[in-house]
Amino acid sequence: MPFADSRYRILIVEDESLVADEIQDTIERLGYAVIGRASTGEEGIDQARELKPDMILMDVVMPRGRLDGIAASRVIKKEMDIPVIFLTAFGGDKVIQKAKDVDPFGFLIKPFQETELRAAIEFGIYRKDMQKRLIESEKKYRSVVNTAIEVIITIDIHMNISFWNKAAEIMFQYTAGEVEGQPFTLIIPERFRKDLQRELDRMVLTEEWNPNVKTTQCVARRKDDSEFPMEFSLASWIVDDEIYFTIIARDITERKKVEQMKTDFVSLVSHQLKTPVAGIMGCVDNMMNGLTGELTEKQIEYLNVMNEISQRSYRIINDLLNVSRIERGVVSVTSNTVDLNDLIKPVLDRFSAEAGAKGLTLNYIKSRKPVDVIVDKDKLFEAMSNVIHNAVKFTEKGSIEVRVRDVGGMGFVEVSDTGPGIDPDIMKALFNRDQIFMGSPSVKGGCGLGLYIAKEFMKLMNGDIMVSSRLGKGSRFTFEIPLAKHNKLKKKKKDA
Amino acid sequence: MSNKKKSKILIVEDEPVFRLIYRGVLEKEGYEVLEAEDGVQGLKLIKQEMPDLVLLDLILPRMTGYEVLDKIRADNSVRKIPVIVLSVLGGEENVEKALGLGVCQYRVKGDSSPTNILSVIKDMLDDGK
Repeated sequence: MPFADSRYRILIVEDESLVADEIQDTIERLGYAVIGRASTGEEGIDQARELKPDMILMDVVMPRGRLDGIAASRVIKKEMDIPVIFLTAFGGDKVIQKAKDVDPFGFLIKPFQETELRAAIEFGIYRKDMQKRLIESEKKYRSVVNTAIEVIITIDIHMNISFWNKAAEIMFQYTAGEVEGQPFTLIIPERFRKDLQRELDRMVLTEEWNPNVKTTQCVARRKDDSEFPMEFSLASWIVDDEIYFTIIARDITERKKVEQMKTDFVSLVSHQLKTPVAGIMGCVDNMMNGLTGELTEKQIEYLNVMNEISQRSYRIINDLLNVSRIERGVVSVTSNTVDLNDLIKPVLDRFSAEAGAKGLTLNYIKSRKPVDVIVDKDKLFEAMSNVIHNAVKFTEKGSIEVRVRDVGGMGFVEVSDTGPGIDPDIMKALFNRDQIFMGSPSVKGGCGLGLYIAKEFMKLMNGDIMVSSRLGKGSRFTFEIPLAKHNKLKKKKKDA
Repeated sequence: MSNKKKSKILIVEDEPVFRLIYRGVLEKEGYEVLEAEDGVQGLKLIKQEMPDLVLLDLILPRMTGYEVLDKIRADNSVRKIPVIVLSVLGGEENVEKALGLGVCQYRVKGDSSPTNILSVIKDMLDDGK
């Protein structure tokens, strides 16, 4: 018998010894070991305790003892977790129903064939093995989860905690026993619970975690009511039609501190720099306006240079401040309905002198119809200034063309130049903030943040910027913004 | 400038360079200029001198520009005096906070030239009379 294993030890509990003999013969012939026999429920329990068999074949009806097979099995199951296969002459529904209570591994109706017995035993062995492996794998999984540094929590669809690992116990000071069955919002300060609940509901409704696990930040609370910033991800899984969520969370106090220090530093330094630079600009303005008396040609030339470099410094400082505001997430967007056609001229005016000095022509092609969009005028001005100023800076001869159009629900502003084009390597990180660290030669009289800011501003207005370029031919930057009637950006005031 | 009585303008500003710049522009236009170097002195001069307009910085020693605004708005004798904030702070939250405190105009140093500010002041003083 390839499957049979004589180390597999079976106990027979059967009150009719003839039947028991026959079963023992069969079992031994199949290659298993019969290690004991009992003829009442009580005896069966005693022998099970003593012999610790791998499996018990148990008669259901045994009138000589006080306990029948089902009652005996109940005791054995509770104490020892040994698989039981019932033997009965009555195949009646009532008996089977009653026996089901103790979750037997199998059922054999007497008289049975050898093959039936064999199948029942083999199936019992297989099921027991599976159960063991399942427990082992569950143990393994638990220990992995419990030794994880990251907090792992599972919650059910009602947002009640169903699992809580060791790291969670340490992070929140609650033991698993204290929180299991409690609402997840227990670990959120009272004042944030509603918001988080709404966010979770939204994530569940929109299935946002699917397929990408998205992280969310929130404030968390410990048992002692102290608070800390936490980042967590939410992933869902389904068992028996029930949805569960796994939350993986980490304390981000340190990260927040470093981020805060960095942005505070940038913000502080920039503000400190802004004052003297603005001061120089003001002095130059006053001198140009004759407040210090008549100026010689040479003095005017010098003042023009001073004006230009202080303006440039001022722009760089403003860029740094804008980046630090974008990173702190404090950029707010006001919304006005404007015709894109009206917005281009002031931007071009700003750079017409610089373009003129280089002999560049600035062409402006309006759209025939108005192109109404909802935007933050100042932010769009800033974004377009950054792009158009770049075009003026980098183009040595030829022209810069700005064209407004609307196609398919979107408003577009295209800025095309006849400049050197953009190197494909630089192109990849063109709108990237980290450009600044590359010390790129492409940064000309700026800090290389202009395009990053422009892109971020456009995104805040539900728009975007795209670029295409050919080396030696020129570049084209395209701004796109949804038309007013399509933009969800909240419409506050009409500003035509 | 007409023959009208000279308007009195108070500059509350701790940076000497901006006092120099704005005194220069305003005196050239014939305005009478007063200066305060911090918020406390600024508030005192506002009550004492009843200027026609105040040019107020926000980051100030001893008392911030916001606090000065608060105190002006709480005092019936001076609450109607128009205030232009002239600050290095350009964030929306600063602008909103100041406008919420009854500021007439908010200008960012460096974004607006002295010439720009002068025309704003001229407009406001003409409107007021």
